[in-house]
Amino acid sequence: MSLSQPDLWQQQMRAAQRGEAEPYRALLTALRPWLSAYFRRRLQSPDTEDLIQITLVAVHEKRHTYDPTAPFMPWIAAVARHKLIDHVRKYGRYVHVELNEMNEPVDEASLGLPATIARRDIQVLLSQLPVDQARVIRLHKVEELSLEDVSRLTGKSVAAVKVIVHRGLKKLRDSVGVPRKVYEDE
Amino acid sequence: MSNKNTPDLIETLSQSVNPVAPLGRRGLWLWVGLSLLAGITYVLTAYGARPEMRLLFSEGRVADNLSAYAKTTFFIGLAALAVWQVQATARPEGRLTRVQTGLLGLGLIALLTLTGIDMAVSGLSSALTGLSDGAPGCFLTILVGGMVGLGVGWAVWLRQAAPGNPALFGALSAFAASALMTVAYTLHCDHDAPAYLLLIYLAPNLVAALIGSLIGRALFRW
Repeated sequence: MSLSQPDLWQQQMRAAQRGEAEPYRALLTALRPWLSAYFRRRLQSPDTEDLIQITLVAVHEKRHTYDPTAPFMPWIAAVARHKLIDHVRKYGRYVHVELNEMNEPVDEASLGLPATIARRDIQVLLSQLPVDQARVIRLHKVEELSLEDVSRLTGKSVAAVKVIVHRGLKKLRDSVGVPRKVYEDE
Repeated sequence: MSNKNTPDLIETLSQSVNPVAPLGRRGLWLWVGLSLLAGITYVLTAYGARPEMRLLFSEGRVADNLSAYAKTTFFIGLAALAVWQVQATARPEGRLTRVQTGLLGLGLIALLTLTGIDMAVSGLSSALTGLSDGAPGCFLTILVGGMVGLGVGWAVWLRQAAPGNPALFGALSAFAASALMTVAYTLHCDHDAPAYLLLIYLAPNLVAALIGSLIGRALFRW
């Protein structure tokens, strides 16, 4: 069963901006399982219900920032992502970011998020790295090329590619606030 | 917060929903207008207009020497670009486009190239002429004016935003505020050397952006 109904949610959000309580209640109620799935895919901790509540409050407080002429899903995904990053920075929880995930079309069967949004999450993360490092990670982790293929494409040795990937992923984890101790223990 | 409270929370939120005006551009333009008006009024009152401009306007020959407006036009373009970027990043899903980033890069490259050419043609000492002539005052006027403008922007429109990246939004907002003050200041200052524009005009905008990025996380937290 589909977790998201983008068109219906867009109409309900527009109604919420007009101050209509009933469609707004329906929207928030429908968002709860969607947010739960969104956070559970990314956060391996028991904090998802807290995050859902925090996100619902953010939706309420910042509902005027939704552009009623634009699709609803990118907006709610951005709000959820913002709250997730905030939460991770604050509590240093482990965020589960599957780099391969972006290649798989994420459709109605999962969260209703277009693959472009998942891709953007990865792009935002990779943009924090030096160009060379981001390219190596993209080739190996996103495009799933073997270490040898990446080595051939970039002109670096296999050992160097391994080191670049390892250091790059470490940086990415640092950038989303995962304490050094957590991933060193893995 | 706990699991059993979520339905209660939803009920509370839906009961307290009021009509809201979607975030529009009116407040943004109000900020731009107020900043320019206040900046221009201050600069012209405190320092006076640039001599060529004063002459051209007093003699009714406004279009006779267009080079007198070149610097102002360049910084109007830069300020407009910065305001456009602020608008683009004000919503959670907002982001900078390649065109916006490219244009900003192009502006910086143009100024750096002009500075390089000027230094190559005129020599270093000549290109840097005027840097000691009241330059710190110019720098500070633009920087402080930009910070005041950022405060005005916060009160008028910026605080309504919910940027996905508060630090970036803070940097862009401070840069835009400072760029608007720079536009106002160009109406007074008659130093047109590219090195001067780079170090006394553009540098305070970049310092403002740095300050904006540092305070942005707190200022635009949501």
